[in-house]
Amino acid sequence: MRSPRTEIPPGTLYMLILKALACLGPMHGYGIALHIQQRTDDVLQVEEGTLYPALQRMLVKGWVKAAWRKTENNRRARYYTLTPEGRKQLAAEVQHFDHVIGAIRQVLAHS
Amino acid sequence: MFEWWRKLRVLSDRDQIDAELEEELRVHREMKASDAGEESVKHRVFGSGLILEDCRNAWRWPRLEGWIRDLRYGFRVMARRRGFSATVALTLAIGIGATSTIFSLINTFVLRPLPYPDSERLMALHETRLSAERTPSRVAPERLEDWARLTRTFEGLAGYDLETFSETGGTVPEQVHVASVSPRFFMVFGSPPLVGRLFGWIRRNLASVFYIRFFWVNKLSNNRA
Repeated sequence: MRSPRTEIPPGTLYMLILKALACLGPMHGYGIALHIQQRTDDVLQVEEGTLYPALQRMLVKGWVKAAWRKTENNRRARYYTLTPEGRKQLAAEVQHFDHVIGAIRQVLAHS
Repeated sequence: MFEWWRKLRVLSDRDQIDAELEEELRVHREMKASDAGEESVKHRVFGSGLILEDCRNAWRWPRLEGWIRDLRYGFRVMARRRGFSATVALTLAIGIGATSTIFSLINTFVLRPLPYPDSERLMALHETRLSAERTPSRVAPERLEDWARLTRTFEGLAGYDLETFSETGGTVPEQVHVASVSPRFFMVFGSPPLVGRLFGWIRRNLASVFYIRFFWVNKLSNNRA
């Protein structure tokens, strides 16, 4: 049975995509979505409607590069690769996220 | 700033971007379908228009381009309904014109101080004859001099009289606006004449005739010795 689908927390989508690319290396959109879904045990599902617009914006921002390649199943797909700016952005976003989550935990831990 | 550059670089490749996005989305759905064990995805392309729109907008300036589209649409509608547009334009023109005219009048006569030093100390004096209907009346030069001699309220008193002459000295006769002013005129206003010098006392204390600026600019500027 599938666990209930959860919305991706606002502001974390870029970080999740960047992290997926950092783990996987060059990957197509479907692979990125699959990676996030599997890593979170199906809790987080990235729909096409959010994934591809985000990837396009990341291309514009210069965090990723894209190139068409053949998949293992001999399909033509667009593969995304992290750029050095993308790596820097990932580090910054992770740090910011940890900072915020730490703060939220402090609030929750207070009794 | 790099974003602008990247967006500008693909301005001419927008069709290609669209085609690539469409293919990418199709591939994504095919892979998803084959993972899920479905053969055909033809009936599952619902909603891709919206996704493509979002993707496309990443490469554009949606707000700016929206404004430009709205402007174009506005002009088209205006061109189609000429009469209505003209009426609106005329209404606006008259409204704005009237308002700014009234403002410039108020600004000149009420808000802006007169262009003389200590202009707030300048006052206009009039003589009113109780019996006469036409008020105020002119002040006789001798009386003005009496006032000037007797006053303790004012530092100085000066008068003027405006006239229009026909100047026939040149090749073409010309209408000239002339003001006769009393001797202390320039002292009272605290500013010297723009050109020329003050005359002495001629013709029964009321002399100092000078051409006002209008005439000087038109005529005398040519032969300013």
